[in-house]
Amino acid sequence: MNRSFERLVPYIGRALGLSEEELTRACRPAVESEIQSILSLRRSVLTDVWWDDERFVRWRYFSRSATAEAPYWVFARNREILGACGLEPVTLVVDGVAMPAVRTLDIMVRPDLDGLGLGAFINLALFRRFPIALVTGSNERSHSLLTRMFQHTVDLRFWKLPIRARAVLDAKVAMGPLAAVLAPPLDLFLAARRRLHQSSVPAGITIRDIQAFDPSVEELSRTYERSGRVIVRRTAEYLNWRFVQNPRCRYRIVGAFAGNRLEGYVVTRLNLARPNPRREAEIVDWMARPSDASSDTVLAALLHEAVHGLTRAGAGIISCAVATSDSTSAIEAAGFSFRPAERLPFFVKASDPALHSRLTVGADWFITRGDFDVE
Amino acid sequence: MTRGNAAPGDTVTPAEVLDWLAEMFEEPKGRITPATPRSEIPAWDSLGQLLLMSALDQQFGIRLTQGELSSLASVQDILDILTRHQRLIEK
Repeated sequence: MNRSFERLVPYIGRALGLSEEELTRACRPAVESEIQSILSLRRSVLTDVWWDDERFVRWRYFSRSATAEAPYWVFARNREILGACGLEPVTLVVDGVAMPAVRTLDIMVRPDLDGLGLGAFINLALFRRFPIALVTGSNERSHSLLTRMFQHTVDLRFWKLPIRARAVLDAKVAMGPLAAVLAPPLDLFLAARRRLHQSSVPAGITIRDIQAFDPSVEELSRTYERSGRVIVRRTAEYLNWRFVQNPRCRYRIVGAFAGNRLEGYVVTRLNLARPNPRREAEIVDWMARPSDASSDTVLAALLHEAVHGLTRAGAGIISCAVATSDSTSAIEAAGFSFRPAERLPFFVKASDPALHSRLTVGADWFITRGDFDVE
Repeated sequence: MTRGNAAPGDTVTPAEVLDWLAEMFEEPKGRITPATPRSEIPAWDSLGQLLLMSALDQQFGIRLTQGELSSLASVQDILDILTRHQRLIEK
């Protein structure tokens, strides 16, 4: 079935009563003065919004000086916003070669126009403008569309570490008052189990909190950029925007240093601002200098400190998601257990067929929860 | 029937339409019946609607109006459109 922009565009034009020229003009970057219309569209589509959406939209789509135009595209007819899609410009590094790409996020269409083809059209229009598009995560409604418009390339896999027994008991079994009796001894067991997985900090390394990344993190990121690897480059500007300035969630960043040299970092969150009855915390993103023979030890020490910090902060259970085999030994050494039933899909599309083929080798991607914008 | 080989103006039977829709929406043959609602066909989404519009135009010469588009809620609605446009024959 031919799904090209040129073939399908006349039909969406007919569905919306627009000429092809009007249709092409209608899809464009948003301007800041349209924020109230954007928020109105988002209110009509999003349910269970627990965050301050105006603050979030301003931060995510209108705050980064690194982008010349707002990375929020709207479909507007007579100044009325009918659909929209958020973007996150990133630098993708494929076999050591850097290239621009975008993550697409938050695609939405006004509910009364749902199913007319506008969502598909916005995707097709973005494919024409941006040569590489990435999507992490899907829901029941979007999965089928994403599978057909992008290539489902790999799944992030999950590891979990229970901290408080109630987080598991309440989710798995309706035990009622019995849970209150069983929980304290089980908590002691879980604490003893964590002690078994303690790892020592390698000689010459210090572990400490980081308030904000400095440019040395890019040098660390570049050590991951090699043949056989596909990765979104971490820069100080990107990481600080994403994790330090994020209005929706507070993150903790822990660094491993040899002297002043950054050897690795881990980013965690325990978001209690959203509905989170199990107090589920996440190991969100990490890097540890891979050229060093002790990189697993550095990552293990960082993960241990991350777990310790989240435990102190009151986490009930900690999860860690990744699509790479590199980190799994350190994750399991920190006491996490693999959860085969849980997956988060990752999709990619590149306009160049050879590059598209290269990007769909799932085993070469390094993807963490930091590649997913849901907090 | 492979509708891709058909010329605009062809007539089809309901069974052929069901097979054609199953192929378009990536469903096993036989799963789609006239009573199947759109909500039970995952690929009849935003992209599926565009592909359906395109296919009806290219293969039957039928250009859906905005009203027809908005009212498509089940496979029977597609059969009704083909009937109205005299493309459906009972066999």
